[in-house]
Amino acid sequence: MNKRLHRRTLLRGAGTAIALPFLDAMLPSAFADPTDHQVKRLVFLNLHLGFMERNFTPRQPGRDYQASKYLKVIDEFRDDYTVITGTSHPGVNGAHTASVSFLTAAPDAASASFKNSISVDQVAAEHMGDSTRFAYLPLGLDSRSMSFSRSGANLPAIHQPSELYQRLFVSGTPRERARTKQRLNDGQSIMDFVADSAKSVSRRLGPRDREKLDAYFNNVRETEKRLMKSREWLDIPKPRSGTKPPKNIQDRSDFISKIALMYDMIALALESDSTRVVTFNQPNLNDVLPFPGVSQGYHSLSHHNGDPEKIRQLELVEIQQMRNLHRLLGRLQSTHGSAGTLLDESMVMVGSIFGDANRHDTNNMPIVLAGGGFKHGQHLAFDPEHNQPTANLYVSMLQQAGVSIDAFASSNGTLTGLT
Amino acid sequence: MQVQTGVMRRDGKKRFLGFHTIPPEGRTIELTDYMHVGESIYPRPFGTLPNIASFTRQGERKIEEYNGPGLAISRVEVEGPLESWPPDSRRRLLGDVDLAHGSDADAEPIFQQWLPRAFRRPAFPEEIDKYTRKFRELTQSGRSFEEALRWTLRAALCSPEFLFLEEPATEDGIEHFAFANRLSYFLWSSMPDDELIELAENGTLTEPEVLREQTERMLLDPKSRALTVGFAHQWLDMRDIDATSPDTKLYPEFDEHLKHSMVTESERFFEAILAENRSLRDFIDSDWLIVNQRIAEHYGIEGVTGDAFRRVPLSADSVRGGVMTQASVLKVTANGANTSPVTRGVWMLEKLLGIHPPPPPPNVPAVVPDVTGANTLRQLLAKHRGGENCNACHRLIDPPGFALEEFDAIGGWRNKYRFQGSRKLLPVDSSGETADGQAFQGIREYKRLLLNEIDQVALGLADKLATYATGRSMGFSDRPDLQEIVKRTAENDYALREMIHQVIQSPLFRTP
Repeated sequence: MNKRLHRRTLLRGAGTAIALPFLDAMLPSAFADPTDHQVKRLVFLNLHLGFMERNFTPRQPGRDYQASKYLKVIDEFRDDYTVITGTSHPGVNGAHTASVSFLTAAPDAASASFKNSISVDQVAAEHMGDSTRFAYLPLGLDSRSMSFSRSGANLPAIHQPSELYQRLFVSGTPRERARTKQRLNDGQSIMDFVADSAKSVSRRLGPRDREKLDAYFNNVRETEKRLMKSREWLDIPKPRSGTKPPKNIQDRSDFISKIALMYDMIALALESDSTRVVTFNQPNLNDVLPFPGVSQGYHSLSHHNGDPEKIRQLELVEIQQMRNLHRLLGRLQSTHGSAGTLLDESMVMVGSIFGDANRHDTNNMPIVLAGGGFKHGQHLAFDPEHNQPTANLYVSMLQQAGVSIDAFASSNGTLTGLT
Repeated sequence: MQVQTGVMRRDGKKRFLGFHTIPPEGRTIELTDYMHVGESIYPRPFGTLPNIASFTRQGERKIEEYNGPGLAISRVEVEGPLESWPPDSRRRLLGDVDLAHGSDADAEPIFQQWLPRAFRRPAFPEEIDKYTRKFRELTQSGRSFEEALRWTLRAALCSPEFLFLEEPATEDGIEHFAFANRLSYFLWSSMPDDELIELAENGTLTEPEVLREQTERMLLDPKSRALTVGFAHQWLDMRDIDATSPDTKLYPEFDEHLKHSMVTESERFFEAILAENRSLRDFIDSDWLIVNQRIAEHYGIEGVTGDAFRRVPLSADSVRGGVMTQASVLKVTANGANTSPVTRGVWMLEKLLGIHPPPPPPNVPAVVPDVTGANTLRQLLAKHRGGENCNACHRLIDPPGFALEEFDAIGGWRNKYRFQGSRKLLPVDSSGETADGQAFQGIREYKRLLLNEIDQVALGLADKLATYATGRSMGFSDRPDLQEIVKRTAENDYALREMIHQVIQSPLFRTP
């Protein structure tokens, strides 16, 4: 028997909701609709430097593939994920700059005239964002996220776990809430006020500048919508978390622990149904991981040029990346969602723009797609010489999430073999 | 022992403040910085044993077992705030108005003097009116003077007039205030000052003599350091200085101090050429450098002690001089362990000659260095490259790259390749032949040949300066203007300062 409260019930009583004591029945998925068996969640994890192909890609395609060195780490979940090789974003290049196109597929990131386009998570958020407090959560290790708005603006990442926890679970005192409400209202009316200015500026400018101003105008409107949504959810109590607020990791170089903590936070956000769309960005890290046997920066190791010592060290780091993924998948699998396990309802896509970071090669992106009700337990091996557009995978994921869409960026269909 | 000081920001990044030499008896270090909430002072010692990294909490060995040199900090004192209260910025905004007792009538003068500053041009009466009306609306709905003021100032700072450089066109280019802004953001990366605004107001700023005088005034102002940080850093890729960390086994002499010294050297070099009206030729080759002890030792220049940068003459047979043999440039064009003549050649073409070779065709695998040390990359490249197809670009790309083979991944000079292992070290071959068939032996001869290409170098730099100055890519129609800039600069012995004048005086600087 599912006894969780219906979100709409709560909304109807929103005026009095603040005064209500917290109900355990509202946990773990405070606002999930129990009658809705189609709840789908999307998680996109960017690993920037990717994986060394020889340790990642299984030699055999299909269901009977033998787990590669790295995939052995998550082999426990073999039936819950698909390893996808032989896809890439056409025209996406420009060394490390290219990673901004991981979820957008916008070509030529390094060119002077580059303008990014909407990321796949934002398309999803537009369609499914209304049912949760956060339409989407752009997370990262610094302020850069993988999420880009319709006008191509980078949405700032939340990168401190403590701040994320605060936003997810801490409601604040009535006075603080009143102040927040005031701030949101002010923010909304300021956006209105400046949108008006944009019109008069636009009259004074030439067509090229007007294009820039249009982008500004769109950002203003998008901000306004976000503020409005925050305002709507302000009076709805936040879910209670079963765990204590996290302590941010102070050792800057220990990025593996930082990523692990962020993965835990992603699980918390999904468990509490605070959002159904998450992106997480690892920037190009060059810290020396404090781990026995590692003495060089991550990025420097990625340019191993076949040096056995560098490869040995890089392997240690990449195995840790897989362990983190193992931990996330384990956690999602052992948590109940609205119908099945949280993993069944969550499409977790892990990958990198680089098929080979050593050579800045953006072909053959390494991808693991877990959960979300797809047909798993296989190695979908597309042609390494003639890649499928990775955007096809994004179309498949959006469709699986119930978004009626048949194209995204450079897609030319869906990815075959997932359903 | 050396100590680097900085501030650890809340986002975990460091703001670098300085390097200090610590004698055995210790010393006091005094720093002045604007610190934000949650930031902390960050000291980092150098001269500890290179393997100290393994003596950490998670490391292989306990810190107690470490017996190399260390740093003890006996006391940290923080004094501040150094500004008196109320700070100038508050007075400039509010004048004599008391926030607690302000009235609606006080608001209008605030907008009248503040909006023109925020918008970097005179405010239109309807703009003052719009903000004043909004202010009244807010106080009438019960908001306090301070709240209403915060609201309206926030709005102004979110407005397109503040965020964008408005460049409305007139018959002869962008209008005067937009012109003053373009000039100011080019040389100062900041808003125009009162003098520039005044000249824009009376319409005389665009007169060639006035403009030259103002440009000189602005270049003499300390604010013009922004041109070094903004332009020179982008031009020479100084922003990539942290992109790779040199292999600690191959390059044990590399550390943060050397890295910072590298960037400072290039900054000072650019600034000296600008300040002393020196020729662009010095970017190709110079008989002087500006170095500190660390860089001097790195280059094998004797007689420089201490951390202060100073000018040194170079001997006639020195391989140094110019930007391409500066350690910073040699580091950003290497990957931390290996150097590639192709990468460096492309850098040279793009940065110095303004030529952008097309990317390699698809399906051509990159050449991977031989980690056994049996072949040099140059030898592997020769095997790899056969057809005319490759040669069309590589005959341009490779020669400067070959000449730079004399320098390792951190900019040290070499005649043999460093390699970890017992194999006999391979000798460096830095000879080559330019695309038009002139042979050279090594970097010194190559630089001499490149000096003949000064007009091409000048055109490349004019293009980059104009792009930086106007915020748009130079197109085909800008070509005559750029050539005119080069011609006039050439008449003044290719002085960088003159080129900046010529960019500013050029019609392209007035084009919307």
